[in-house]
Amino acid sequence: MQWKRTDRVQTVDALIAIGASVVDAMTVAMAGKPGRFRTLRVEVGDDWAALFAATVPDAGEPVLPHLAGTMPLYLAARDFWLPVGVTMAVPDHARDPLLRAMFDHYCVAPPAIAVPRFAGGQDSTREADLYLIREPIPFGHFALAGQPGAA
Amino acid sequence: MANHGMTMQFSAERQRAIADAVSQVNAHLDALSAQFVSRRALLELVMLGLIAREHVLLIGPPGTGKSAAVQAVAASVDAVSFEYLIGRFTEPSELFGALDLAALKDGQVRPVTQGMLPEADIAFLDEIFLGSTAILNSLLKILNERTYRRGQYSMRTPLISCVAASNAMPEDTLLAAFADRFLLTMFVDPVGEHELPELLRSGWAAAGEAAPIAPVGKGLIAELHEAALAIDLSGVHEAYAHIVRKIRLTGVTLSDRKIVKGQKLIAAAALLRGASAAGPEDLWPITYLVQSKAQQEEARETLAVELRHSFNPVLADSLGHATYGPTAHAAHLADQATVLLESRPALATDPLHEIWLVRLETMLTRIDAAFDAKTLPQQLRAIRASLETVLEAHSTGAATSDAAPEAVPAETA
Repeated sequence: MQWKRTDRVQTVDALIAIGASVVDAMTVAMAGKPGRFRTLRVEVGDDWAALFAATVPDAGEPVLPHLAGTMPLYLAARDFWLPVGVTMAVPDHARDPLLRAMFDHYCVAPPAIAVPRFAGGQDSTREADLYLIREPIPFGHFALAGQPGAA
Repeated sequence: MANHGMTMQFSAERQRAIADAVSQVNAHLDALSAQFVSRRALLELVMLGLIAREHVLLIGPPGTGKSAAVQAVAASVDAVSFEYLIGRFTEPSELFGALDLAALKDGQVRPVTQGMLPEADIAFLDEIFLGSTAILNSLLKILNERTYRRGQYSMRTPLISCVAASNAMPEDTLLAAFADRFLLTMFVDPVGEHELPELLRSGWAAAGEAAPIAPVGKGLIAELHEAALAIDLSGVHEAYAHIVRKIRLTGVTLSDRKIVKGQKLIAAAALLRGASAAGPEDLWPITYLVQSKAQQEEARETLAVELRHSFNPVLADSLGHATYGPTAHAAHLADQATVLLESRPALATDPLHEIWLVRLETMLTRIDAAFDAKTLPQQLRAIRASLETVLEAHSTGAATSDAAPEAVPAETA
């Protein structure tokens, strides 16, 4: 699969913190956020965590906190997120079959996040890290269950 | 290369007059769009049609505010307007005027055109494609040649622009050829779900009396039209030709007549941008020449690179429809953030105050996802600073009094 940079005009649907220190910082920052944000669901990996936007009562739109160091993501296809400003370098009609083929190739299944690796000033790449989403839980539960760095 | 006298340098005084006229148009669009949710792009496009003296076709389901928005534009221009809902049984005389019986006694065929379409500066025709062949033939001449003819009777019409609406594009080839006379086509969708609360609020407010808007003069529109014709297009001819070729390669039919006339839109866009020469910022109106919704969307994607420099502070929303790039995104975010900042609950103890703060923070996240400190457009810079100030003030104040969070269930996005 080829990924390419594009205009950063997509609607943010999630945030991903990559690296233990970023996950710790995210956890600490979330502690100071309004309670509504702590109802958002989070998926936590070995050294990453992804927080997903959701509509909370009375807001009328999906909400997300402002968290320094995190990478904004958008829903590029069903159950598949990409960083804002990155897209799949394939025609729309070929997108879903190619995504399915990619998942099959790696013997994994969506939902997932792909974070392409752009070297230097590259505008396209074939390399990406895949983060699998399995059981996102409300952030409040995660914060209660573990301390910063527990991811 | 010589311009054969087609372009001219504006004098300083004329430049000031044009800049003033552009400001008036912008303020006018602001006032009009405040009365409609999500219809600024439509209003802008009708205004672009007026300035270019070209016709506009609006396609969309009933109840999307097409008629109301066009009526509001027509009413807000100090000009003679004519509006009619066409039906299958509409007689030509209902649009063009009945025959003058007194003249008929003298053997003359002369319609009474007073108050009818032939004497209108702005026409709005709803359900245009339901018109009979006789109606459409007469209309064709008015649209193309600004001439109304009935038998031996002929008159020049003052028509600036005709805005027509329909629920769908016609499948009949003859009607499609008639539709091709409308240079600009916009597909109007119902407002987005996130805008429903605002639609309901504004709809309820409109049940009362809408605030009157000071009309802009027909003279001002004419002045802008003249100024648009003096815009230097020599710098964009190659790029425009390239775009036309690229669109045609996707299977879209763009007649030579249409692409030649399309230059008037580019010139008007440049004028409203405040320029005396068109540049790559002004090519975006070409997507509105395409008369199929799917093909318009395809054109937007196909031309993403060519239209990436698009910019227009007055026509930001119609530009946004034409090409969704960073400029349009910035304008969209700025609009939403401004509305949000203005909707602050009066009391900090109001339960909606926390929700308001949550939405402000979400907006800040969205702005920072799109722009970094270097690329943040000027219009958003001040708004972002306001968002930050409010959120910081709250976090400072709330740090000492923050209570345990309430458990509120969230629906997954």
